[in-house]
Parts: sequence; structure tokens; C-alpha cells
Amino acid sequence: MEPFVIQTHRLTKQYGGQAGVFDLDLHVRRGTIYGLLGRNGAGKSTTMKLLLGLTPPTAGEVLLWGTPLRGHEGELLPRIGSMIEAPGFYPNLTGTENLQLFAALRGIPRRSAVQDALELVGLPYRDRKRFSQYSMGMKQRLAIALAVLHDPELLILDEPVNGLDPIGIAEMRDFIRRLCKEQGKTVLLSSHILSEVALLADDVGIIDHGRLLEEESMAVLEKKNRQYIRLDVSDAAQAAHLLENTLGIRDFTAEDDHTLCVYDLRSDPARLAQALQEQGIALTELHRCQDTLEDYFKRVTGGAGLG
Amino acid sequence: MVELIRCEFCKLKRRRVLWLLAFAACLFPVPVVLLSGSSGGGVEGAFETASLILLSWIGVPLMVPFLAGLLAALLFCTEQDNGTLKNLYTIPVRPAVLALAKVAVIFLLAVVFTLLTFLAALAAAVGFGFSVAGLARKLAAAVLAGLFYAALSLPAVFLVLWLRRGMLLSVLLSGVYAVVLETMVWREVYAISNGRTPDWADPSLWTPPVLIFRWYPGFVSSVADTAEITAQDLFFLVPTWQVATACAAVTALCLPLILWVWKRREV
Repeated sequence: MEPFVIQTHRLTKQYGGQAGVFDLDLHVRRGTIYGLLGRNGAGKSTTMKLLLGLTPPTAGEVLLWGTPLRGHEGELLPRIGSMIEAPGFYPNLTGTENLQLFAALRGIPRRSAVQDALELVGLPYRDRKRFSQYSMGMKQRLAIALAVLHDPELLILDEPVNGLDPIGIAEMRDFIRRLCKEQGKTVLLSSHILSEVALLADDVGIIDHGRLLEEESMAVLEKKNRQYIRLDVSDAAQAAHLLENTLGIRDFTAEDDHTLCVYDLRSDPARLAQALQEQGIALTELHRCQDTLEDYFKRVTGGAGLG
Repeated sequence: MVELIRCEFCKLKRRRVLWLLAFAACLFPVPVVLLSGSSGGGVEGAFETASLILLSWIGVPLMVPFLAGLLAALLFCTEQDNGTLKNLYTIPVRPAVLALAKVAVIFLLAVVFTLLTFLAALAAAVGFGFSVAGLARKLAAAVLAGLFYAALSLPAVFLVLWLRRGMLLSVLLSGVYAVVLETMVWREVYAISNGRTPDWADPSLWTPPVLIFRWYPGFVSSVADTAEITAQDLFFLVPTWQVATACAAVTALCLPLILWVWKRREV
């Protein structure tokens, strides 16, 4: 059985002279949640459109379950549920009517599919409210309902928590997790909210300016993220002099006038505290820390953070 | 394809403008029938004259292109505006098949509109006590006229798609197009009413809107059965296949253009 549900080989999309996505080699493992992380305009939505055949690539190819997407759309796309950018529905129809329309076009035999999908996302069945009257959160939920309507094996979700309130975000997170862990679905989701990806994803891909800079499992990322000992002192300069000349520790940085980060983990925190005390340098805090995903993201992209 | 066409009709639910047009289709024939009866048509000829006016002069030739342009805006342009194309293409529904289903809806609604106009005229004629004859032939003529004018409206559909200027301008554009077609017909109406002998070499006599105008009276009446056929009678003796061929040519020209513009749409 093919280990990767989604694979891309040097996938490129150019818009005029500008590259939307360049040389992307993506790998999404079966039965996992893959978080595609990137700033606004990084190329996340473009990548998802390429994976669904909504826009033709300039170069490279997309493989789904080991089969090239081009020429096999008819057999591959019915196995995918998707939500790309803003929810797209007919404003003059109700939520139920919208789903019934798409269910008819998909040829879904199960009569209760629409009702089940709406109940799954907490929307009423056969209500009179037209889509144009829906709130942002309701629209987002309806889009998710459409994505799962035909019980697909793969879900491609572009910013699924966009527009949801905190409770809605938590519910969406649980929902996606259940889809993957309990129903064995594979989920590719994109987000610019690092915390959400960190809580959900098994694998992470970091995309910036159209290039996939890093692709790693969360487990390996957590190991890779640097651990350090943080020291809050009364005089960072004096403490730095002590570390280097007396203790022989060179692998450290001074964050500001009162904070040092020691990356040499062979250093004994108790010995550090004692040495500082003997030199009359007041130590207010000492603890072990680890880079967050945000720190890692900043390091990989070389940027100030998320736009 | 049938399911796709059915879904296209579902997308028009609660669109009040279509109901207004249907209402107009039913209302407009009433004064036309009445005027036809009171202005020399008489009890015997009122329905004949009214159906001629409505189906080949003013009503349907003006309204069907207008309806087609409106439907083009409602069915085609709003798909991209609402962001529904991505949901359709990932089913997958192929762009060309989707476009053909929408064009089929335009044709079907054009026939419905024409039939509504005809039936409203019939109801008015019966209501006013005018005689009605040759109903089967007139009904067939109404269906064919709807199809012919739908085909003639495809250039307006293409322009609406190509220019993509929103609902109001799409409707104005199709209105202008309808007036252009109507002007071509009225030029011949004026010439015929002044007793002018048709110049068969004049290319304007062979344009699709004029061909339909010439075809309708000959189709519904029995001009060909009379012993003496005048030049004016010949003007109205256009075989149905000739009109169908002209309209098929317009369709064959416009349909690929519509598909080409539609496929170029970025999702």
C-alpha cells in the first residue's frame, strides 16, 4: 500500500513572471494530519488548488495514492473532500438546499447524508435560513459539512478555523482529530496559526515565498527544537564574563541586559547558580526551556513572524 | 447531464426577476390580443395577428435575448462571484459540461417563456371571444420560435461572459443586442407594409432574425395551399429547415466561443 496519500514532484506554479509555488516536494502520509504552515501569501492556497487540479501546474506533478492526478481526476477527486479559501455556496439557497444540490451532483446514494453532515457540524437540517444570512462561523461549518458529505478518504482544508470563535476552534480541532484518529482519514490542513498546527498536526510543512523550506514530523521537530537554560540575572554582561572566563561556557546568548540563554546543556544548573551567587550576581530565575514552533518557524523562514 | 440541468434549475430558486419576467410574459399578450381585435383583425383574425406580433415581431424577439443575457449573468457569472466553481470542479464536473448544461437551461427557459406568451395570448383570445384556429401548428411554431430565438441569443450570452461587467451591465448589453435584432426585423416590416417587392439579392433578407420573421406566418398559415402565390407570399414561404440551419450555424459559431471563455476562468 502506498505510504503517501499525497506526493508532489517539483511542483511549480507561475503567475506571469511571479512564482506562486516553486519546486514543491510534499509528502503526506496515510492516516495522519499534515499541517502546512506559512504566512499570508506564502503559497498555501495555491498549493491546495494544485493538489485538487483547480489550476494547472507550470511544472512538476501531483500524485494521489501513487496515481498522477492529471488524466485521473474522475477516479481520484471523488475520494477527496476539500475546503479552499472562502466557503462557496449559492446565497439564495438554504444550507440544506446547497448540500442537497452538491449531493445530487456527487451521486451520493445515502438519503441521510445531508442530514448527517449537518448534524456533524452542528447546523440545523431543513431550516429556512438562506446561505446569505449565515454568520461567518456557520458558513465555515457548512463548508466542512460539504467536505465530509461523501465520506472521503482525504480531506484538504484551507484555514479550517478561519472565522470561528474560540469554542468553535476547539470543536473544529476535536472534529479534525476524530476524523483522523477514529475514522482513519488523512487530513492536509493549512494555517497561519502556529498554535493550532502544533496542537493538531502529526507532520508539518513550512512554506514561505512559494518554497517548502522544511517538512518534518512533529515528533522530530520537537527534538530538533533547541533546548536551553534561561538565566534572569541582575547584570547579564557580568554573568556572561563569568560564564566564558570562569566556567568555560561559550555556547550562550545574551537576550537583553538581564537575560542569558545557555545552550550548552552539559552545564549543571546548580553549579551555574552557585557561581553567580559567589560573584555577587543576583539570580532571579533559572529554568530549562525549549524553542516553540513559532521560534522554529522564525528561524527557518528568517522572518519576524507571521504576516 | 440531466442531473446537472436539474441542479441548474435549482440554482435559480427564489430569483424574483425570473418570476417577474414570467408575469410579463403572461400579461403583455392581453393588450396585444385586444388591440389586434379592435384594430381591424376582427374576431376571426385577432388571435392570428396577435400571435404573429408576439412571436415574430415584438414580444418574443425582444424578450428572449434579454432573458438569455439575464440568465447568462445569473447562471455563469454568479458561479465565480459565489466561489462555487471550486466545489463543482472538485466533484468533478468538467467545465465544458457545466457550461453546456447552463446553455441547455437558457434554451429550455426560452421555450417556456415563448409558450407562456403563446398560452397567455390564447387565454386572452378565448376570454375576449375571439376565434382560435390551427392551434397545433401555432403551438409547434411557438416551441420552434423559442428555440430559434434562444440560438440567436447566444452571441449576447458570449458577450456577457467575455466582458464580465456585473448583472446590470449584462442586462443592458443583452437589451441593446435585442434592440439590434429587432431593428433588423422592423426594417423588413416597414418595407413589406409599404408594398415593396422583396429584393432577393439583399443579404439582410437572409439574416437569422429576418428569416424567423419571414418563416413564422408561412408556417402557421396555409399560404402554400393557395392557387396564386404573390411575391409577398413568397417572402413568407421560408422552409423550416432553412431557419433551423441558420440558427444552428449561429449556435455552432457561438457555443465554442462560450466554452473557450468559460474554460479560461480561474477558480
